[in-house]
Amino acid sequence: MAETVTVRNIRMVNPSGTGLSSEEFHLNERPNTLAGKTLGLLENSKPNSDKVLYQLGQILQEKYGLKEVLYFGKHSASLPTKQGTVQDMLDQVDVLITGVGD
Amino acid sequence: MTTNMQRSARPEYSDTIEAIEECYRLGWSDGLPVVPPVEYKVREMLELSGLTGEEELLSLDMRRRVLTSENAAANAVMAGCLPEYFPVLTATLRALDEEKNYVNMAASSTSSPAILMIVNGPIRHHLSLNSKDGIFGPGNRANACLGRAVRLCFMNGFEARPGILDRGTLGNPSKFSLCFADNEEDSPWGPLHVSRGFQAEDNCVTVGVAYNPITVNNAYGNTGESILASVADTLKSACLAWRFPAQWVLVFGPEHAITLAGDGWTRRDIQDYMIEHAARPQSELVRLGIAQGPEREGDDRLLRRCSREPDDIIIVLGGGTGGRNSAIIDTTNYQIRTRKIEVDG
Repeated sequence: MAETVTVRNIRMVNPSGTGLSSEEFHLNERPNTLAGKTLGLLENSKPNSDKVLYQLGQILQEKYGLKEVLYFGKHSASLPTKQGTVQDMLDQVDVLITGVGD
Repeated sequence: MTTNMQRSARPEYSDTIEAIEECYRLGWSDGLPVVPPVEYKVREMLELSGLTGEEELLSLDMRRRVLTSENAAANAVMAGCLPEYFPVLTATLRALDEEKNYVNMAASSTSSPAILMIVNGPIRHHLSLNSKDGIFGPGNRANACLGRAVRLCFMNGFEARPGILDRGTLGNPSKFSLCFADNEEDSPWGPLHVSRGFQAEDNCVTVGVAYNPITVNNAYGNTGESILASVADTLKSACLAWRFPAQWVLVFGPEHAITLAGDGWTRRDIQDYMIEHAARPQSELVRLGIAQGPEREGDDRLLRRCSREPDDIIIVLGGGTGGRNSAIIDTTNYQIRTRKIEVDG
């Protein structure tokens, strides 16, 4: 049996899911400033999300002196981003903001 | 007057009750008490299905987690399942794993969908699954615990808890359980799984992402067409029509089914009727705010129908013999799947 939790005389099996793989993530260091950086924004494909995100991008660019804002899109709101899009973002942006909007 | 508590001896401090409380403290609950997932019960669950505990049943990429058979068995024990229920749960999880849209939507969508399980085949009797009075519950162990187990798998397995991964705006009572059996024996339309290409002796579970059943109480229509008209009218209401075209489960109560069968309505006839009559012009949907505008020229002639294909309308018989009630279950526009239940795991 995997991980267990014991309370008094009762040992229980942890019902939490198991880690998918041993592959590790390394987060990039956060930049000290956004000035002159290229920002990527990932749009989740829900209706009007592109319009909202475009406006947010314009505000962020002006406020933080970004060099450029690039917009990327998901093919489906409920599925993970396609690997090709992930690679494009890795290649082209310094900072990426992703999230969900509905 | 002496209360029952005063009459009894002071009860022993219960380790089991404390374990239940510990499960609450650990966040391992859907809000109701759980059966502590003790090792021997988890092992029993796995052994009867011939599983080792290491089989990967369902993964959720965004959480980078996989639900193993042991994880699932622990959740099944917690939900109150008997070991013989477990093959239905594993078949359901494997069906969900085939359709990743299901997993992400059922885990997190703001629309708060539940996971629908319809069981067909002889296993319905072996597990005493309910297809009759009070089919949607409460009151039956297998129906209640199987549906609960799949949701606990999401909540405990993937942290699909409200406000964390589960962003459901309103939640949904069916998330506690939406599991029932098709009343094959009394159905004028035969078993659901046979209509979907399986053999009558196969045990199957039909799985979808779904919302609360909506009751259509047609008490006074004495013809099959009247019953279908009231179902179609409900189906094209604003709360359902925003999803057109989609898939739907129609659960006809026995009294409605008798009337429909008496008037000669076959499964295909009912499906065709719904596609023809559960339809609204795009212009109305835009005006109701359930389709994106602006309204365009010709939208008043552009009919949006409930489904693309007749087989997108799933028909089962369910419920008790008192009352003229049927129900519509919205199952989104994702593909409903029927999967064979392997009783040996």
